[in-house]
Amino acid sequence: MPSTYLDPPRDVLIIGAGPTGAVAAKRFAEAGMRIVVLEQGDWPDYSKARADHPDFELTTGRNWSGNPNRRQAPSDYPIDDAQSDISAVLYNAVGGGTVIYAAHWQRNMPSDFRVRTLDGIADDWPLTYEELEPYYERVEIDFGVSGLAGDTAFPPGKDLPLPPAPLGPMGRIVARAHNRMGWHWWPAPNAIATRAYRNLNACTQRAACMWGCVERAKGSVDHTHWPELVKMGVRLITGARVRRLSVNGQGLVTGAVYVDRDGIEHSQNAAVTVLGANGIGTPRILLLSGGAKFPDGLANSSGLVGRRLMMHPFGTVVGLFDENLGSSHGVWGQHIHSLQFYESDPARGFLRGAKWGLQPTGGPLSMTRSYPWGDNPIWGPSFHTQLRKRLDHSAMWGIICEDLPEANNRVILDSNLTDSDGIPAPKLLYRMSENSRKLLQFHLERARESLEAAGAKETVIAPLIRETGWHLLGTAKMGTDPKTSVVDAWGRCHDVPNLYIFDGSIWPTSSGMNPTATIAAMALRCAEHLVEERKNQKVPG
Amino acid sequence: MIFNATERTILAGLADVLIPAGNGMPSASEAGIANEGLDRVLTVRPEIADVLESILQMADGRGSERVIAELQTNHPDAFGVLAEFAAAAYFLNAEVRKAIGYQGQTPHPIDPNPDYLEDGLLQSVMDRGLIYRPTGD
Repeated sequence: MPSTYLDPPRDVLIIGAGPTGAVAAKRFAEAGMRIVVLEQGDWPDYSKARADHPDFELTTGRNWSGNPNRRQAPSDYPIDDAQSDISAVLYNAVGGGTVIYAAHWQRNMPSDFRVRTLDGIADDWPLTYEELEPYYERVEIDFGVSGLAGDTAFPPGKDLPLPPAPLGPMGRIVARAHNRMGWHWWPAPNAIATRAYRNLNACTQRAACMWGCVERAKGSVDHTHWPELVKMGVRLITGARVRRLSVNGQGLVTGAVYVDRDGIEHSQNAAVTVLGANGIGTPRILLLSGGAKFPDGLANSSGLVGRRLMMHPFGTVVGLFDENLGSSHGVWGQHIHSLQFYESDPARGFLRGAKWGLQPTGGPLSMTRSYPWGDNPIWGPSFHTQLRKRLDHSAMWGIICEDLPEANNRVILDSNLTDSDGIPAPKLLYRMSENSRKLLQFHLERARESLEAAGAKETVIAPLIRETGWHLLGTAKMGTDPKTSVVDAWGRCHDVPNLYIFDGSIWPTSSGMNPTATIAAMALRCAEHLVEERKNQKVPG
Repeated sequence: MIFNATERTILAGLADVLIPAGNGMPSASEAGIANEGLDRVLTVRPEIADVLESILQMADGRGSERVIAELQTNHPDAFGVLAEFAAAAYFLNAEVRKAIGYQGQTPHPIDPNPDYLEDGLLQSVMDRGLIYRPTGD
């Protein structure tokens, strides 16, 4: 038996079958390229989706936890987060993070691409909103995005493929309040099928989007992309954990060495390699791939691989209303969003802003938990009164705060911890900045005012919890200068011309938006450029 | 883990501190949380049995309210598990669900008639104009 199996070579090797890998694979397949995708997870097991069972709420944390340290599935690698204010939330499976995302489909705003120019901090992106807009439009069709054109927080654009989810009673009551206050709101965009669409069924508002959609209504790429891609001939290998990228004497990547679930090592060669393993997995692979020639990691002459980690501090405010808002149900998802305080105002004492999404609060068990209810205990003689005040009578603003890039917030390799194949695990060094803390506090207070204006008799600001690092961004910065960035404007590594990074690692700044829309649009833009320039592409001989 | 009758009685007593009878609703024990409820919870979440067992050892004949207070003060994680068990088992009781008007995450098909057009809601937003910063690109 050979020590390493040589798998058939391909034109393109993609690492990661999340939204980045799916979007890129689709474009490459359409161009007739031969593609192989390595995914360390398996297909999601929707037999564990329990929204149509009485024990649903009890199962969510066990079956659909986003924290790999808690989940400890065979597909997971541990993450040392002891020195991080926030724990990473991710999902290793076909579909990646979209399996457990809330499907808030937020484009970045124009100013997000011009942070240095407008606010004098951080960096501009080497592209504009206008350049990315056509790619947003295309991926929105593929993901089955619902929403309404004309949002006053964005440049005028085309209709989305599906109509928005209902505002519902809670959306309407808050929308009216914002109209009285002169604050922005809009029917929220979601990657949730509000009607039957392609191979997605219509949403039935079970408020279970993050814990296994039983309706197949959420636009996760295990539904929207991978079944068709497999039919198109894309070779998707699950249970494949990358140990390192392989580099030849000319400094070109020749593919990757991976370990299958039986512990057998394979060598997968390809002309071009694309990383789509998220803001932790991607720098981990680069740092693992340096060898003696690049002791600081592959593609890391800038020293920025792993640095500038941004994770979007997250806040929540709940309002309790006399009216029955039906808020045990709905899309989860968001019913309305507000970008009233998204743009910078230096008078506030911080820069940048946050997006708010109005969400349901769930069933009765969710009314008893320490999150979001915090220091508002339900237990004891007031249990039944409190329950009736909360269940179906509460609405919740979820607040995504922009996190600015800081060199010392980073992903490194842990010197002791390994995954089950003995590969060094990532370690997070992350501290929430003073700007982020001020930003979060400001937005929590404004969100409280929003709910009070809508008639909330009580409001609860949820305690900050660690497991909110859904958005893993910035650890392989995009830019035009090889000294201050890892990849160019098309995701190509400055140091390794046939190695590309398309995922959220390449974001120069984080915006204050849920990132999947922009991750997908950027992946398509980068993939398309690679296709168009393929005749000029340097490849191993 | 098979909890015996004595252990179930202790768990029921602890749960009654968290969910007493009142407002026309049964207490945790009256809703059978330590009988069928416990078994149903453990079927789905077997990992919590170890924590419940350690709580039983800690209880050791002391009053339920005293045990609850100590858990809240000194063992918040264990308290969280006990509370999750008690509430989950309580809400699995069909009579309780009926009484609180909750029948589960039942399907609510989306009404195709847009409610965002009611009362000129959107017009008000549009009348306030664009709010993004143009970048001039």
